Amino acid sequence: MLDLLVILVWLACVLIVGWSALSFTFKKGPSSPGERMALSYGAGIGLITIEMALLSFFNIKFNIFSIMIWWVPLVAWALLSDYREKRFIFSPAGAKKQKPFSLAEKFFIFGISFEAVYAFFRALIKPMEAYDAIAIYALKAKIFYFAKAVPHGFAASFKDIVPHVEYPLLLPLSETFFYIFSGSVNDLAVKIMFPLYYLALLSVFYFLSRRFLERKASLFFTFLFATIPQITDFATNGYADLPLAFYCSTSFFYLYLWLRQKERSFLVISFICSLFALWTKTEGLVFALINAAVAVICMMKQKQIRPVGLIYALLSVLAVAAYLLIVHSIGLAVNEDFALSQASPASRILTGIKRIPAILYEYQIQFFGPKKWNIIWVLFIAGFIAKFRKSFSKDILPATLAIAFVFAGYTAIYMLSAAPQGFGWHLSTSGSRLFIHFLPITVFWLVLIFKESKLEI
Amino acid sequence: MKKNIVARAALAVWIVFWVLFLVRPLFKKGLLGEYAALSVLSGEERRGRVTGEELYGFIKFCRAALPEYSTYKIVGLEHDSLEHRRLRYYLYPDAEKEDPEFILVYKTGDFKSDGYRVFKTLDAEKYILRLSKK
Repeated sequence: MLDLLVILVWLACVLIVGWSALSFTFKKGPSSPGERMALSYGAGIGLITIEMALLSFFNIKFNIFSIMIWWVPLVAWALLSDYREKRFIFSPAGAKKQKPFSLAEKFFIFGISFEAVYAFFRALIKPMEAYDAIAIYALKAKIFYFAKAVPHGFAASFKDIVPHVEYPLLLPLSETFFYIFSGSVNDLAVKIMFPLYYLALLSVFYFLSRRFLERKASLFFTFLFATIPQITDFATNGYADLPLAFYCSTSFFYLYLWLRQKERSFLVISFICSLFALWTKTEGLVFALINAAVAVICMMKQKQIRPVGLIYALLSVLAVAAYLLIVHSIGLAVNEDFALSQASPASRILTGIKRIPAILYEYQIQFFGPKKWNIIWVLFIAGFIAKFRKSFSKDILPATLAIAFVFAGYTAIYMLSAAPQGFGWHLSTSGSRLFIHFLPITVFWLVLIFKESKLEI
Repeated sequence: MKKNIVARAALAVWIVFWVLFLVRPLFKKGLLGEYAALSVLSGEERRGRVTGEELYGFIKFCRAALPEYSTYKIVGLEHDSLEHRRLRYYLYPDAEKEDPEFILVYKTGDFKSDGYRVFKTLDAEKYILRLSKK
């Protein structure tokens, strides 16, 4: 009961910070309260954890007061602003009359709801127990909780205690934030944040699909996405991959909306989510660069080069450069698995080329393995072959490019891997996780193909 | 708009795989029994069950025996194994170090190290050695 109260208060704080920041950032943008709430969750956690890193930098210890007090002016401003613009007033007359749900729609809603409830159950029934969840994220969270800060010289002082000190801190700091609310290292209740990311990602995906498809088709694709075993597994195990998938996919989704509608607030959301992706896992670097490339290429293809789009691309590249600079200045590698090789660049490239068959073999294992992915990759490959020309049409090109770039980027990562346990180990242990990061973009690609082909379910 | 037989066929295949891979682990991996057992346990008991009762018992013994912010090294667990990581996690803020004050001996009978004496004993194979003052 006490855990439930802690969860509710913690969640309310996260949502209100995220909601206020979204109100502050744009007047237009997400139209549905559900979409806005889902974004508020990711934005709230992202902002609070960045603030916690800054508090540590300025030697301010973590407690509920020191963390929340800085948000009071923003929250007050947002509440006042929302009240003035009557965002809180619900008008039944203004609400669209919805047609009753069909049998198929009820089935899709049942499937999505079942998976969501089951994800919460699976997350909360066990404490943190998976390898990286404990060894990397939960241990860091515990260190920060006991120190009431990110200790100064953390990277140097703790490198023998916790592996991968160089990893970004969104996840451990968000766990620390939860512990501060619960007043103890509650490694059971803290896992609530993972199914909440799952729910937020499903919501963002559904409301995005609704912009292009009718309700039944949107529910169909959300059902497909919600029931992919690998996604539901990672919604419960305490790894950073699903939060990263939330940020990098949301970042791409709103970039896509900007490319179609040229509404600036979409670009702002995209950029902020891109920063949060960087703050979640180093793979976020790849996505920031991909978004920058997609923005520039698609503007060129549309023959509409907009300064705001160029600024977005430039800022994304600068964010990546700033991240690399900061990590380098602390004396860390971006990822230890890429820093250990003493080989010359030419030798590493040659080794990388030799690895391509093994990498492609791993990809095909993922593509045709229904145990983790159901048939989502089969549908993608079939759709790509059947609708090859459409894949490069104006409306689908951004998603096709993003997927192609992610594959190229991740293939390059494996080609350059110098993991101490060996390349084969690195590939087999992380391959299926990396696919999670851009899976939402892939399902969205299917949404666009479905729409362009004027299909009906 | 056209009704799409391909989309419907894909949905049918999807549902078959969905149900299969949802239900199969419940029985094949024994998840159903595991969930049923976990659901009646307290938080601490769940940690014990998930970690393994024997290892978690040893962790609890070490937590109670070690002074706060102790340094230790562990004997009897493979370095970087999941069990090793779990022990490290649960024992923090006690930290694993080279040349520690304590050696935690797990499932290793009659382990000796120069300068260390038995500090506390859980059983014949699980005990803590402490660096004796010179």
